[in-house]
Amino acid sequence: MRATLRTLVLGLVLGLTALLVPDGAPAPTYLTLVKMDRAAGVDVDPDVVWILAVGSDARPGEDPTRTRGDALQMVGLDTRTGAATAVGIPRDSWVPIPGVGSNRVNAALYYGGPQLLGRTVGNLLGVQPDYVMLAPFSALANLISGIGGITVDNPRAFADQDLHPRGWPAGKVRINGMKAVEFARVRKALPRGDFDRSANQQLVLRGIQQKIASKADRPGWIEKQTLSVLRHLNTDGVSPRELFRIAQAVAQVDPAKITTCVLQGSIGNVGGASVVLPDTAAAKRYGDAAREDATIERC
Amino acid sequence: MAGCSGDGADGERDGRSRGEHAVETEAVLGKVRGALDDASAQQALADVTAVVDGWIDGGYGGDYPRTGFDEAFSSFTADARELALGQPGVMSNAEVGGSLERAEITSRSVTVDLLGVEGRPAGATAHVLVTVDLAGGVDRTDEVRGRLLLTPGKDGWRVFGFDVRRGEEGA
Repeated sequence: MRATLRTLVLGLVLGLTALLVPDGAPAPTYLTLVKMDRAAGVDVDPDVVWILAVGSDARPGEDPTRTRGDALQMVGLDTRTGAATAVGIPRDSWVPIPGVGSNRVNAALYYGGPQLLGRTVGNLLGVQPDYVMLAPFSALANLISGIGGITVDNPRAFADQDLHPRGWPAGKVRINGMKAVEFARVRKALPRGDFDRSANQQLVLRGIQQKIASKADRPGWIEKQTLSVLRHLNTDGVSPRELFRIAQAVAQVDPAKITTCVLQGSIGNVGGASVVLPDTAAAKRYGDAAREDATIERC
Repeated sequence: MAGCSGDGADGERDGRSRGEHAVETEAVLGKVRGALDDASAQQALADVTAVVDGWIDGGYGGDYPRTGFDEAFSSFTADARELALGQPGVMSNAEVGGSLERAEITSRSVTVDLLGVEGRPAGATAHVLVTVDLAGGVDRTDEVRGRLLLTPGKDGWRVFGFDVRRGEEGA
């Protein structure tokens, strides 16, 4: 072919004013997608969509919108260029939570649900999310199984006596279902603990995106996946059309244009508890770098 | 499932778009996912095909030489239109239109996958294949192949994204 064009545009960001926290306690096997209330006047480039992806360890009977997020990834998609970025936030990061005071970042979900968690992470990075996607681990496992598993490029061999004693070898590793979730949950076996775990979560996100992109041109595949998510989505506030556009945006991401960083920090002690004191200057730098084009050249 | 029926914008009946195209569009209903009855799916097929035809005719058909191709994207969202206009070598004949004497569309087909929710269409992927003969300052036969991504709105279906390739036939 003489020329190739791969691009996508969305009109998702403007006019997001509804507060759409679902009613009642969602089932833990369901995804929850919440539009952020943008009445705060945050200036966001409408070509970049920001989604705060939250992995939750909600147990059966628990409301995942009121637990403590176990995995936090701020994902930006530049719908014009196909670039995407993810900033991993260690769950124990000690940050100001609006209206609550300083606490671990993941406590914001417990205190104020997805909206408060979104604002807390948004304030840290200086970029507010347009959506908060909550995925209990069971739902994430189902999602990965639904797309036929993923492949990750594992930088190091590691194992976890509780979650996966046999471990994962270094190199290309194919993982599926709950094993993929466990890959993203192991912390103690990793040399840099929560920081490395956050990086592994980004490998899983890359794997999911690559699988979606590889199948996007199959007849009816995106429609089928969108329908599957809709059937397991715990909100009626995000329209099917909107979800279809988001799914297409994910499918159009160019793997060569994905950049990821994990927010670093030092280990501190607050009230006898071990916490991460995040590098807030780096957080702002990541936000500034990625705000307009979902790209971070240097972590 | 092939063919279409109903009273689409161009009066499609049997999978052939019968507008003023020199070559009829072969319109095929592809995969239908979710709750959408046959009549609604056929209507969506007709409507989406009409949008795709507008792009094909405006972008690759018409009289030459010419340099104006904006009308090809009248059913694109504003951002999608801007992006498409920025790709004059792919999304239309704009790159060579000023030097052409003739451009003839020799084949055109569209297969439409649909997402249906609660009986209504919520999204569509139009898989498109167009062949066009160019003559004049450029003499070659091009093939345009790819996907247009659409959602329905109050004013009809709109193209919000695309993934399109263009090259010489057989290349």
